[in-house]
Amino acid sequence: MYDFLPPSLKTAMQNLNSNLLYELRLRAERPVKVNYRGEYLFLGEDGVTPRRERAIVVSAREIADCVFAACDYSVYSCSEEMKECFLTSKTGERIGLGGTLVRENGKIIALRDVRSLCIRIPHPVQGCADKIFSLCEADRPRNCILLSAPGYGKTTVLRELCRLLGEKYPEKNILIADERGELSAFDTGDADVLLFGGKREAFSFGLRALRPDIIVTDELQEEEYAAVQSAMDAGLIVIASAHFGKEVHSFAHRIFERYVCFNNEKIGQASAIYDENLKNLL
Amino acid sequence: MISYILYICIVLFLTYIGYFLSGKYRSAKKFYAAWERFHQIFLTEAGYTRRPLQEVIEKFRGQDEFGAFLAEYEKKHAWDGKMDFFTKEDNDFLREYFSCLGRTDFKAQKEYFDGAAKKLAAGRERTEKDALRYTDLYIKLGFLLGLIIVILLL
Repeated sequence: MYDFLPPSLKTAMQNLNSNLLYELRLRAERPVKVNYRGEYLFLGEDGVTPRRERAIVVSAREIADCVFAACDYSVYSCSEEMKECFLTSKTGERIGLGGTLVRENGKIIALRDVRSLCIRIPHPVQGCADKIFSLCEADRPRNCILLSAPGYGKTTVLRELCRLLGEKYPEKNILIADERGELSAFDTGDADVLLFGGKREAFSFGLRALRPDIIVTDELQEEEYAAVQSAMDAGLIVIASAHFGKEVHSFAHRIFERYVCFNNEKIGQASAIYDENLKNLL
Repeated sequence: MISYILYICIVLFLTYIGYFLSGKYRSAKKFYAAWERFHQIFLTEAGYTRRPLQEVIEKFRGQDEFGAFLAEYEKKHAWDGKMDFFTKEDNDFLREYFSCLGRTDFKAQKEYFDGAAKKLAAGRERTEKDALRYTDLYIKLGFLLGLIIVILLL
């Protein structure tokens, strides 16, 4: 892991417990920040520190090299993802990119001068979805959506749910529509994976080509709910996540049978699980 | 009888020395041929499947000087050395080519590498001719030198 990081950071990371590291933030000529145990601190040569002046500072060149390495030294193989300001490393870390978007005829054609990186460290946490699974999927697979603001562990839970579904319902075919290569980064059981496709393509091609019973996907966008509805109409079960930090009653897309909300202090722990009538089951 | 065998050995040895000294021209020829093949495979793989560079490099692992060069390049994904069998221009071209490899999106890669393809083809043709010409010349010179030494000894 972290093969793509600058040498100074790789050395400093050896002083950290990677299970407690959630995020790394690199900005050109600025101190490196980490989310460690859920708290933002600076990263110094000896590990985390609250003191800014002891933090490692990365150069723009180091960030460019880091992006090049994260692309497996092949920018052309990641250029489509880069246009959407992200990359997924070989080891599953999702890297958000900040830089200058280049447009041609109103269309984004490239991202240049990347000056900041937000590296999210995925953690396979077995058992983190047990409660949710027992309330949502234990007796039969149900359409379910995980809702929270970014950074509450939806993807980790979704990945674990997928694995549990595979174990409980071996007769069901599961398709993971993984637009960002993050969902399938760890063990998700016997599922088919469609990597780096848009949701609409995944729902259309995947449905026809792989004949799934259950589709699992991450980070639904507003315009993608129509495809979800079509899949449900076709008799498929959809298990998804979406960024939504408000009260579930104001969530517009009431097409699911379970709504799992995360807004706890503890990452990956559901704060409420609602049924189709918005009755809290917890 | 022994002296005749010695004379033959002298001629053969110097002929071999001639062949050995022309090795750098053959190395340059082989390197350019492998490099051009790498270039074609890279453009095809990058164009159609967007496969990472590493997978193209894998296909050339362990092959002569070019395979050794790629192994060296892979360590830092940059190269600032020099190939002894290349001219300064060839070394500059090699350095420039591999400093651009993988650094941009496919459109930009293709624009640059389409231009590089002509230089690669020209380099391969030139080194092929050089290898043929100089190997022949050095062998003949070695043989002649051997003969001269034998004549002087007789």
